[in-house]
Amino acid sequence: MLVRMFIESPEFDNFIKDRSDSIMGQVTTDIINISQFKILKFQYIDKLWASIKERVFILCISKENLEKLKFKEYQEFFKLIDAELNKCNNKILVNDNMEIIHCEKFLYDLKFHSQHVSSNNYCVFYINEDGVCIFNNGTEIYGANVFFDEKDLAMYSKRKSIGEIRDILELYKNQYLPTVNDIFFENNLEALKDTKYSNILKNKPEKIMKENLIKYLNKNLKHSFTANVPITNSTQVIDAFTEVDGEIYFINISWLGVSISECLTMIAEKHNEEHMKKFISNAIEAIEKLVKINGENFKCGYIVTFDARDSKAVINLEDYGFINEDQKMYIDFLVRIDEFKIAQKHIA
Amino acid sequence: MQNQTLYRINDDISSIFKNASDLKWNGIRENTLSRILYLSSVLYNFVYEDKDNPFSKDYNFSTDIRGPYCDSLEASLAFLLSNEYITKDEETGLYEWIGRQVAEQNETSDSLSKRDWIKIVIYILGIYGEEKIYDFVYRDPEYEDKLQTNVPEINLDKGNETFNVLIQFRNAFEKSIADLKKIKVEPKKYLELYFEYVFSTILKGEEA
Repeated sequence: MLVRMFIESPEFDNFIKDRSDSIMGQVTTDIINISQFKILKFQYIDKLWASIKERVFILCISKENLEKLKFKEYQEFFKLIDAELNKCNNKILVNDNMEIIHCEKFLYDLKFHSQHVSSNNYCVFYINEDGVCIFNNGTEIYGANVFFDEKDLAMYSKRKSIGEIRDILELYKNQYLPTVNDIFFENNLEALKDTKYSNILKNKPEKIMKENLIKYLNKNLKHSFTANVPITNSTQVIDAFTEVDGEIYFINISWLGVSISECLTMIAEKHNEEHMKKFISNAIEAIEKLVKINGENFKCGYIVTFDARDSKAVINLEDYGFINEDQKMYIDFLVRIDEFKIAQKHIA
Repeated sequence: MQNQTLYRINDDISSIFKNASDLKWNGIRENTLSRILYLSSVLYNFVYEDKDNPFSKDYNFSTDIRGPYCDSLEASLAFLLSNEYITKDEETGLYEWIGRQVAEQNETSDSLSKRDWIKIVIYILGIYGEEKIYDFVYRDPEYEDKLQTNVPEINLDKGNETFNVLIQFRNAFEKSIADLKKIKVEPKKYLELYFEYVFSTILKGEEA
């Protein structure tokens, strides 16, 4: 929703104004508007920069060749360039088949030389420690990308892939959660001052938990989780859903403990061991449906529980004996993450 | 499904494979084909504002956990598979075009403009790579709106949510940078900028 909300907001106008030079650069520079240019820049040159950061070199292609450029597999292209860099060549010319047609070891200022080469109708990528500069018609051009830069790309490349999601969930539990612990609990407990509970969650705490966890995952993983995705032809809704290389993953989020009513006067819900079993049964049901819809493309479903009970007694799931016999085959697709234990900090 | 519809969908799929092959995408999943056709359909009227959307007569997309789903695509893939235009790797679920061209039907201005348009869409998606198509679809305003409100039918015609957001996107540019209106920037350029903006939110891990 954020993309749309931001575009519709008055702040978006200022956001555009702040980038007016780059936007004008992108709109008016001929070379950027050749359809092959951006694919070459983002799928090849930026990837080269990310892989070979310590080297400074220039890659040149004539405008004529750029217009009819036929792409190679990235790995094949990378090997060609890497081989030349290993021979200490730092000036590489490619043709319309992404083949190297000339290379040399240039001994003088490469950035200055880029300007010179580009004045002969060449597009020159000057790849250096800080990023990629582009030259055409003897000048540096701006605006190949308006809304992000090399720093964003570098930060993104450091994020974890889906295979490392358990590490990210551990970091969330051990490092991040303690810093936001209080957002889940209700502090205004005047009406409940005689209650026997020490930890009282806010009304509908699952909303806050879901939002908080999904936001963290999307900041720390390379993949986006979408919230509240309905399963086709069913009333069931998945809390967080993603697809990576055609494989489907979901996360369902629940909690244990007590939550307060909307009017803050009484305990609204109590989630105990029985609730946990129901939550797991629902997750198994979702897995069954997703396997039927997606077949082998369904990978796994994670279940995450925020444990806000006063006593954090071990939950006995009785080896999933509460799951229907005909659904037991789906247990292998279920990954139960150790409970996230949270407790209210009481001010003395 | 009528033969003419099947032939048109086959032609669209053929165009996707041809352009994807230029970008060295090795094999395409059914979900990816469906998403490319969906984006081609839902974005069409932003670029060709005065034309009828030729996609809306052949595709009825509905929201589905797999992304936008259309049964006609499944029927077309079955046809192309049984007639050996494409192969399917059962292990990876990837379809590949074998190389044979689909029989040419009467070329209409619609079929030619669809081919050109699919090329534009694939080249825009190609900037960010095939693996990001999922993220673009789940951030697409029309799809997101229908998914979150649990409405199965997706509107492909002018006035859909995506079209409206793109119009606002373009207006914000023209309002904020006066020179853009003077030089008459093509809608395709705004579409490129829109995808770049959405990609930046993916890069920064911002909420969909």
